Amino acid sequence: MRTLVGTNMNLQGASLSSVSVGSTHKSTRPTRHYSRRVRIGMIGLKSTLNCIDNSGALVVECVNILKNKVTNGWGSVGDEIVCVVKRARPVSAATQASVNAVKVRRGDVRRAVIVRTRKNVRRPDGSVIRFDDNAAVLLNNKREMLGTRIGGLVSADLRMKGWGKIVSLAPKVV
Amino acid sequence: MKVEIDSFSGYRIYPSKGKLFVRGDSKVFRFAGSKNASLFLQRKNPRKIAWTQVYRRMHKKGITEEVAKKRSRKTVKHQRGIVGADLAAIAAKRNQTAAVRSQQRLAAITKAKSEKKDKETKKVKPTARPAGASGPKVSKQQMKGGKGGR
Repeated sequence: MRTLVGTNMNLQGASLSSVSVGSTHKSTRPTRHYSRRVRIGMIGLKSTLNCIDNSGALVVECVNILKNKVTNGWGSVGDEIVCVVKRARPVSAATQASVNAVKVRRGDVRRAVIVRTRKNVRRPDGSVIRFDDNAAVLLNNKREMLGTRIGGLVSADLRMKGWGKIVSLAPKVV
Repeated sequence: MKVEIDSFSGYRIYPSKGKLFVRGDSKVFRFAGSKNASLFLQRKNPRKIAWTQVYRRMHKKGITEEVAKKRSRKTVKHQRGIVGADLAAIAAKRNQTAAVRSQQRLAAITKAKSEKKDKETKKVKPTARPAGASGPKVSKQQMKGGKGGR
């Protein structure tokens, strides 16, 4: 814990602040004004993610990150992506008739939101979190979920990015 | 702010330090630094790494010596009364002085002698007093010795 060891007004001949925690004099070196660009996320083109809702997809492959103007960007937790369904659970004829969840098929191009990444994600309090895999939840064009349930845990950073509905549906949030 | 503990070494993790790793089975691991994280991912056993808390606890290093000393078992002996003689009576008997005891003995002897005399006189004249009171009615126990009583 930094404690303020007196103000500058108290400095006299024999300096009181022998235990100064932070230097009270300005350094002569020029301060850096550029900010280091932080590479968070790391979901990009051709990245595969597990699909953890009950929409029927198992593995989706990222095609585009929607927040970026260019295709060579990276997506992180809470970013919307366009993806292709690479592997899906087999859809039987009976479930096709049911109205519940839209079942996607292999080769479908859908939108999704990233809910877990293997790359570290920093939180506002400085903590860092990393999952064991990359995961996503499928969406429709209006940012609504396609599935009705989520199986597995999601990152709490989703809430900050505005995906409260997904966070509330998730069985566990870390 | 909560100070967490490291899942590998048992160190304390202050806010904004360290990493949090969520495994595929949803188990959460916290690491105080890259050293702990790396060893964990190399699947090292913290019980074999000498500077971890797990190892220290297992090999009883440091503070646990005091704890071990406290747990010395002592069996306490209790004085108990038995059915025939409750605790108070036993204590009373034990605390009798020698004088009292000898007095009691004398009293018992004289009593026994007198009773014996009575018995003999009774025997001498059995017909004279057939169904009368045969001497003072004494129980067998009393005749045998008044001292060994309750």
